[in-house]
Amino acid sequence: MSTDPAASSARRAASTPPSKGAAKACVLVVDDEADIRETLREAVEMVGCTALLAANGADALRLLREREPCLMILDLLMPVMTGEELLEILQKQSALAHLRVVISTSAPQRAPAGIPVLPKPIDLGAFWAWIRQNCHCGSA
Amino acid sequence: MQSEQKGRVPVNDFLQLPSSERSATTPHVAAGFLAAPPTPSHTVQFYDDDAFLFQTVARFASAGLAAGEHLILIVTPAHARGILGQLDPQLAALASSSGQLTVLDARATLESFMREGLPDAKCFRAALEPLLAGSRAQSGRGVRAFGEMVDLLLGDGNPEAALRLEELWETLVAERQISLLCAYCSGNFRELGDSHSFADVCNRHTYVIPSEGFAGLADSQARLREISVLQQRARVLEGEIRQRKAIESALREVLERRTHVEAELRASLEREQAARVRAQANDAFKEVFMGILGHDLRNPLNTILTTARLMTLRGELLPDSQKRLDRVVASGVRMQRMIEQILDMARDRLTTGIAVSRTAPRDLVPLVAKIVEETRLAHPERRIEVRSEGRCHASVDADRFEQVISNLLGNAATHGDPAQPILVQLAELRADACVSLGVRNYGPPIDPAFLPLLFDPFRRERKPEGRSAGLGLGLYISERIVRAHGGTIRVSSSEREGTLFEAVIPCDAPATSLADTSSSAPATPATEELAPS
Repeated sequence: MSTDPAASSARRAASTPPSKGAAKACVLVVDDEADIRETLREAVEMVGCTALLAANGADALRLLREREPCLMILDLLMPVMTGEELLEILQKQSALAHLRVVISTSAPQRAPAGIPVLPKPIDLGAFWAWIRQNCHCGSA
Repeated sequence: MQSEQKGRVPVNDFLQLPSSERSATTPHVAAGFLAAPPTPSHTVQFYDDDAFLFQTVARFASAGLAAGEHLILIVTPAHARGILGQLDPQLAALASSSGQLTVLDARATLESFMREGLPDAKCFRAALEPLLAGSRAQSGRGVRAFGEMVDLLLGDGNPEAALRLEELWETLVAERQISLLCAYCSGNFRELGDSHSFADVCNRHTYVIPSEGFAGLADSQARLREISVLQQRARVLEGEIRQRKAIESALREVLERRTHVEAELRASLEREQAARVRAQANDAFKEVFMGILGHDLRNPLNTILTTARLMTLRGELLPDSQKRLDRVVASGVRMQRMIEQILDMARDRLTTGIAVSRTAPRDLVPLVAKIVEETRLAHPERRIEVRSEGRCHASVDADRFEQVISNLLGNAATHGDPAQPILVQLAELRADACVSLGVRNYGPPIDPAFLPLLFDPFRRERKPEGRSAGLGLGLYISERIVRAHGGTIRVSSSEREGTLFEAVIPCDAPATSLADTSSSAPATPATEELAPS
């Protein structure tokens, strides 16, 4: 199979132009790879949302105290604080009621149950579809 | 001269004994010899009981005194009392007062010539020669002496000194022509190692008289009987010694074996510890290796692919640039597939195996339909026909089972005859409670010699023309996945029938298998992977 199924589905998604809304900080991107963060920021902005970037769970926790994004795309394996650790803290704080989370990981089988997963490399079309379905701040 | 003699014992102190202390006289085999020993002579008397010793020495002494010979007793105070007590008090008193009888303390006399644990020849002579010379001069007749200094030395545990003293006595006996009687307590020769000392003592004397067990017997018949008994007892003892030696040797052997076994155990323990250390090092290596594969290599590739796709999605590239970017993406996807394959092989070879988490039985038709659809997208020119028979439900790990279908279909699309369709058949094997997945293509048949090697990860085959889709690990991984499901995979290939890969998996997972996989790789039935939109 020489074509890339993820890319082809992304192309299909791209054919529906992203809706442009008010630029609000509504998607928190948590990933320890700076290049992935940048790419995802760009992808978030392409659907008219604003992204907040965090390099690990602890950074994300700090940002979540100051800002109120309605979505979070979360890597699992990160230094300082892993995605699982962050989720555990958020669950204890009942913060997940307002914050919808998608996990992006190279090892989907290791993702905690009950949370949607976007396997890496991320299918951007699927990511956009998820943003549109779950954004409740009106940005997307 | 006599008054200067060191250790002289006052005889009169021992002559006032009540007659009740005298024991009844027992017979003695050498009574006649003791009464008139040859001159010179060096005789040894062994004894068990002091009373026998006293009587024996008294026979020797009384006869000497009666014959007008000079008598010298070198004894312990206790033995002086015992011996003198056996003598006729009048005879003894007379002999003592006339100087015919001299009694010396054995220990004090011994100490006068012992130097560093051995008798000194010069000092010995200095101590005894004047006395002997004086005695002979005085009596004009013979001199007889009884001494037990050698017995004291033996009792002290100094047999070497005792034998040395016997040698000195021997010389003196010959020079001074005296009759010397020595006595040894038999109890001083009790140990096995004393046999040599005993033989040496016997050899140092001209005459040897056994202890009262033999010497005290009344007549020759009784003595012959005693000799027979003693010979038999000696044989028994020799036998016992042999037996003990055999037991000792067996015990030593057992001990040696035990030491050997212990050494083996120690060595085996050390080997086991070394193996454990190696295994730990191996485990650490595996963890690092799996980390590199699973995370470090995949992360930059994920970034490349996601970024390249984003560029495509932004639609800002000129058509030629887009084509070039598509090549980047296609290569990245191939690289991604290879990493996944290496990771699966590493899981299979380095860890407990490829983990599958099987859910409750589900319809396999939609899984097959999904992968067929993907293959059609990838190979739009290929015709794929799908059939299913019966109720094709099975307990599978959906992701892993899709991986198998994808591999078999991908291979069929690559190697099959483009003019012929690829046939995909799902069938319920009701009798076996299994479901079979067959993928058939009509490409050129596979060399029969090569068929058994198809599932071998390390087979070497000619690199196909053009771009390689992966590392050639696909069939190996598919086989491991099917096997992890409790199933089997087989291949047949011929000109007429084409090439058929058939995977057969049981409908239900065994209970233990479900438990096993859930412990090593937790099933995440509630995890919802976002389908490409």
